[in-house]
Amino acid sequence: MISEIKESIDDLIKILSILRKKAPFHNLDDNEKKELINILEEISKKINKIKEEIEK
Amino acid sequence: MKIPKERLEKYRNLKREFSEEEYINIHPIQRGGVLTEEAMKALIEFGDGYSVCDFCPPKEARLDMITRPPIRDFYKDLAKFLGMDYVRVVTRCREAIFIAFKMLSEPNDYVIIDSNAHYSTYLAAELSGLRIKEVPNSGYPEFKVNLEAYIDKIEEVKKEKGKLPSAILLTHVDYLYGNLNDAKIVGKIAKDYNIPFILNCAYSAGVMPINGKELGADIITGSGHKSWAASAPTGIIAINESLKEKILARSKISGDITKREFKAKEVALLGCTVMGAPLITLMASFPKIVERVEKWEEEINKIRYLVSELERIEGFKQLGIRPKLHTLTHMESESFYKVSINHKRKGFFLYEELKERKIVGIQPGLTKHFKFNTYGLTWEQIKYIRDAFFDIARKYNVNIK
Repeated sequence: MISEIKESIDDLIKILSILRKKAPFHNLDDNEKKELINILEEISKKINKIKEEIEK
Repeated sequence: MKIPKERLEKYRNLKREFSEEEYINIHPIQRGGVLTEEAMKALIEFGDGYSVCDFCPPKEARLDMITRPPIRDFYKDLAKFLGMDYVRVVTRCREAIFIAFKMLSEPNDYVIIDSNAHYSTYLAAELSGLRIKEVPNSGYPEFKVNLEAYIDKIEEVKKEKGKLPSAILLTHVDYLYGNLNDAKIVGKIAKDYNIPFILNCAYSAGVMPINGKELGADIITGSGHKSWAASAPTGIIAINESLKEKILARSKISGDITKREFKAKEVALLGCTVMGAPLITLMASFPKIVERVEKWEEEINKIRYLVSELERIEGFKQLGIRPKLHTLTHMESESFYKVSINHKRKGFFLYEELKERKIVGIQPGLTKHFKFNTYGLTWEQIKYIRDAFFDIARKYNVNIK
């Protein structure tokens, strides 16, 4: 569970890091949007796993 | 004494007003210190106090001997990267300069420094009990340091004191104009006189390629939070073999009652220096640093482009050496100063107009001249900055060529 939490934080940092390069208005092209959505989906999976662990 | 709860509220949930995600930050001292993704991650992992000390070797209990995380290897790689023999991470570049001054001199000695040196260079000399001689610069508009004049100053000291200065220091890139100095010239002078040569690379090492041996430097000082994508406070002192014994001298003191001794400790460093998160950010960013210095030419292309565009605005003139050799830039802006005279916000109008356009980093209140830095910004961001300045110029009827 801890590793999923840490990996989720790392993924969120990755998103921040991408957005920094696109400041101030975050105009993303299609590839960048796709990349961010993929990361977010990965985070969702990890968060669900954390939820499951807690609910056990 | 007890502090009321409500008074403590302001310390909870601290947030930065101008985050890098929401604003383009062109602060002259901040661009090279923006953290890499790897450093941001490491900061969370190693944020706790003495986080790097889990495996401090008991027989050689010293920061540079730690192998988990790989600090020992990092120091070796960092020295190699800078073209030097040894490295220690200290708290700030100014501390590195102080250590060098202190360990190379006797009280009342002279050191020679360039006249564009940072104020902390002067304080480092003062705290070391030293006197200084300044090498002049050409004045307005280039402010170029006359490097050959180091010879005159050495001779001056020799005549006055009957001995050579204990060190000469050159600021590789200065904080005022972003002028890049040809360190090889001073390196050669230092070698001819056999005087230790300290090269202050606070604004150069970490953003552009540096090879201390090629430049003739005996000591290189650097700033992690200024140019190595690291959190403050982090400084670097890199030393060549010939000065290792002097700079990294070991402790000789012993307690008169306890007879305690600390022979493994390096005196000038007061033992261990940066034992946690800032050091880790410096290490975590290192692979990206090694890559990014190779892209220095592109950074220069960007600043030269922006300067040429901004100089289309009436009354705008870049100060310092032309064309730009560094991304830190000093701009004279007479026309915006004239606008400020009649503006209700006076000198603050420029800062506020830029902030409205999500650009921060220019010192509030300045319009006659201001400093900025573009290091690491994308071309898209550079063009956005240009457009913002053009927009402000048009708003106040300042002509654009």
